Amino acid sequence: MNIGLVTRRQKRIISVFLYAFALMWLFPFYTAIRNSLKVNGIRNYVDLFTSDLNGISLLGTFRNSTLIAIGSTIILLAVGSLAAFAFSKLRFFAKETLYVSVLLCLAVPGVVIMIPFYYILKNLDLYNTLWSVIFSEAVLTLPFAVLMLRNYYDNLPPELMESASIDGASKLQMFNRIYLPLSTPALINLGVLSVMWSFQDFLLPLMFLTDKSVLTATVAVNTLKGLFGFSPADLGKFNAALVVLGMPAVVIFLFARKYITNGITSGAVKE
Amino acid sequence: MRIKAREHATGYLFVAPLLVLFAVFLLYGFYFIVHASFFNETLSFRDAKYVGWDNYRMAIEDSRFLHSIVNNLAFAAAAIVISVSIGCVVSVVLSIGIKGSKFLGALFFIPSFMPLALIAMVFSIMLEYRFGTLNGLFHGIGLDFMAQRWLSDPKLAYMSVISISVFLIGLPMMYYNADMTTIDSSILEAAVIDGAGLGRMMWNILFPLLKNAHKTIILSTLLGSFREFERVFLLTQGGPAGTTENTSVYIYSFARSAGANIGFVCATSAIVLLIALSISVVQLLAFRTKAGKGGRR
Amino acid sequence: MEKFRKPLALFSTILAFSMLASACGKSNSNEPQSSALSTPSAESSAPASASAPASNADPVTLKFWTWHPSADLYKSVIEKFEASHPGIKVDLTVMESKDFQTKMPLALSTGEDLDVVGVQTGAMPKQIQADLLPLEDLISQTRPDWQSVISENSISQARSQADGLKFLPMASIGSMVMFYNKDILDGLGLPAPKTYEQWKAVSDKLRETKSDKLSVAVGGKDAWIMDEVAWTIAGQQSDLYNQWRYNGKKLDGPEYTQAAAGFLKVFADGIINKNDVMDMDYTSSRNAFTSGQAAFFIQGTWEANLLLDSFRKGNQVNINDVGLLPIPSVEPNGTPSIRSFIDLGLGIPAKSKHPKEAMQLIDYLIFGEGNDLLASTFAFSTNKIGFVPDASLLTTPTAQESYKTLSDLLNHPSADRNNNSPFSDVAGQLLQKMLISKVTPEETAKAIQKEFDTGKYPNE
Repeated sequence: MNIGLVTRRQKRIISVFLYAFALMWLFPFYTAIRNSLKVNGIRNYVDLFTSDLNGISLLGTFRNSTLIAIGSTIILLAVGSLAAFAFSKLRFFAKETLYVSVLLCLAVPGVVIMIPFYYILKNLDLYNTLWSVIFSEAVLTLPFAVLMLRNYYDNLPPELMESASIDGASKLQMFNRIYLPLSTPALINLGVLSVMWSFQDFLLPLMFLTDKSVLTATVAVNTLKGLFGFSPADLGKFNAALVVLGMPAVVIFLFARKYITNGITSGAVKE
Repeated sequence: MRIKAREHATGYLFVAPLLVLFAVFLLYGFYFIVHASFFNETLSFRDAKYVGWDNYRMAIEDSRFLHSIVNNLAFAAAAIVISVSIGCVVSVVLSIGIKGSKFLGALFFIPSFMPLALIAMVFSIMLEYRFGTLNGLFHGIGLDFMAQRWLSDPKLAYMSVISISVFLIGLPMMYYNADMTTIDSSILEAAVIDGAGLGRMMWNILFPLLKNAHKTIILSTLLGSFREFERVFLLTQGGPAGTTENTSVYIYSFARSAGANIGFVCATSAIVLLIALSISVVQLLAFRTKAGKGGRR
Repeated sequence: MEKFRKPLALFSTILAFSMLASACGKSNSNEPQSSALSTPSAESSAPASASAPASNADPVTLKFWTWHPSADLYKSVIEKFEASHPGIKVDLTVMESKDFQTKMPLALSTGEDLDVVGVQTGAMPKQIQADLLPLEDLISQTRPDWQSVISENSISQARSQADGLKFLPMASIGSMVMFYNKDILDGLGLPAPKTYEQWKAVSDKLRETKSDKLSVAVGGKDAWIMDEVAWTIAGQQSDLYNQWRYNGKKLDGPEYTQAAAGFLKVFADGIINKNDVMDMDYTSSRNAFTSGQAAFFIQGTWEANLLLDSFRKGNQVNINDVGLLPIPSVEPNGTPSIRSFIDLGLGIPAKSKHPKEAMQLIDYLIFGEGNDLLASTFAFSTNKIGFVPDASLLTTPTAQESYKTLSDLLNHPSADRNNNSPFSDVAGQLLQKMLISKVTPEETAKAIQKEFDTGKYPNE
């Protein structure tokens, strides 16, 4: 949108303001990094990865976070795309009612549904397994997935459907061969978004994972803090762990910003 | 137009996985909440005692609970104001091509990609009165009067919780950036020819043109407000003395305490769920006005 | 787009597969992935040798969850146990206390494979007792004379907590006491405060000298800590806590009002600076003290290992000398004291497959050598009769004197520290409110009683 509407002087003034604003911005980053070097300096980072934290290995928690992110994303994409395709291109009884009901669930707050989820997971024998968080996250993200993917399928021309049905393809083949490949951009957006959301999640893993072998990174770092015998040396490690927790975000930004942006904005109000 | 039974069946086959998941988790979950809310029982789910509407009465009579609902809305309102003002201005300004705008953009975006739990933990360290880095900075540059009780003064604690929204403007900026690409630049050029200054152009022309982004941000922030948990829980723990408590922290505090009455937790959950669902209905209506079947772009 | 070929291919394969699954799974329409679900990744299932005695057969792994003391302190103790009990391995998880309060009961009721669990006295035993084994017979088989090893009082307290003996107590602990940094007091030329005036003199002098040190570090952000401080002040006058907890005495009377007023006075007199502590949680207050930034640290007796030079050296706590005192009496006629009670109970989940081996571990940690080892770390005070800690650990006169003070306090508590932890959080919040607003102690006492009367907090 750069159309030379702004004079040089205006640009300069704006720059000054913006950079001042950015300086404020940098302050939390500065706080985190500075504290992470307290007490034992860079050794905090080394200790973090080489020794256990109260019997928990940080790398192990990152592995758990990754498994959960992948698991919930796969379920989300599979279940979401099937349903979205049906809502968009197929006709069946009470379709719109169902669709609206699914969208309504966009509003379900995590804390509210926590107790019933706990009860359900307990009875499915999934409590304290990575599956508990995988399913909970997938279920809570599905309404957004259906909304986003249906929007996408709605924009694909219906002619595709007609030409395929002349070929005698079944609905499943149609989806598989035509619509699914066409929707890969949307699936990538959604997938990246879902991985990011999963990494950000705190409440569900906090509630459903108790065993130290299944803890996720964010929760492990948080619970570290209140442990008995938390020494000055541990404080350094804790702060270093905070910085490490921020790293995936930087990676996502560098390599997948576009997909996140596209994914999020595809749920926007449009006219 | 009649639809054949086979077609119905195919349709349902496609949505079956979704319906199964929703039936198992959400539908049953809602039933569970409503059912449990009429009982007095612990998390062991033994010896449940029917108590009628008692749990609801306790919830409604608890000023702490009502206060937490108000806080939800207050935090949402503040987040909306910040997004629509700062978020919008920064997006526009970054698009006029100043030096280093790529770097600045990155800086503004990255926090929105981080776990909110992490941001809240860092802010709570940063804002501590005695050992926090922010007050340390103020003392360092001689601005002692600026060193405040950011987390323990009730008014400032609100501000601190809200300030995280400023740190998260990356999200609204995504919507604005997307919306700006759809603006026809000839409108702006015409305005320049008319002699409109930058400020006037911003408020009179650009701001109204971005109304779809505004709408999305308002609705999604409202909707998200009842999901908010980490920001308050890890920054202020709902304090000082419960001033910044939101519904999530309130419910969580009862859910986690030993021997808690889960029926009461479910009654408050049911009330919050009802409010959240009504907001969702409003959002759906807003979507539907223009976005009828096939009408989406 | 190119570089996403591979993941794309993967995605579509998975999608195709899942569709197949959903198509095939039409007949069993309840849960398509159900077979894949039931492989808990957390399972470290020990071989199910039922309750066969652990000899040179397959080793039994006991899963042990607790919250105190730290995993580091347990480590060498458990290694010794494993060495002297071949055939038994221990898989220990130590959690943060609040976390433990939520998660352990959840795990018990979901049938998690646990063999030994820590039991916090107060609200927890009633909540989980149905999931715990009665221990009377088991312990009598393992150690017939067990009742003469630990104090009678601790046994009767344990029995009172649940229907029958559902856990055995490792120790007694009390709260709140006050640790002091002798280096700072020496620097100020002031004695360790025994009276309220002496206590106030420390904070006054710190202010006068414009010292950058904090007077008192206490977790003012954690409501339960505020509640415990108020109860400690109440205990300087009477056993109000017991009367409230067991006899239904109300809190809106003059006694608790006086305690709330005393609590407020400590802040109003500037002894505890509310600006400094109201945003500190347990950990940050402890940190302020251990990093030498505060003259005093108010916390429970479980922090008594701060008295040990060896502990301080090992944990980079750079203070030469640390002492312990009760919180001085706010009113001149009061007696400085603490509330104390058994704590660190150990129980065996009813679903444990190895109750016998579990009892061996409990025996070791409560009646045997393990208890001595842990008690020597000063992370708790044992209930074992006649236990004397290794005197060589107490390297300074301050430490020796403080240990004596600690024992006296624990042996003569003003009331039981039989906490109602859910309510403690709420009462603490109302006390915080008094500190930051204009609410009077009287109104606070009334508000606390009123909140209690709502019936949201069981008080059994």
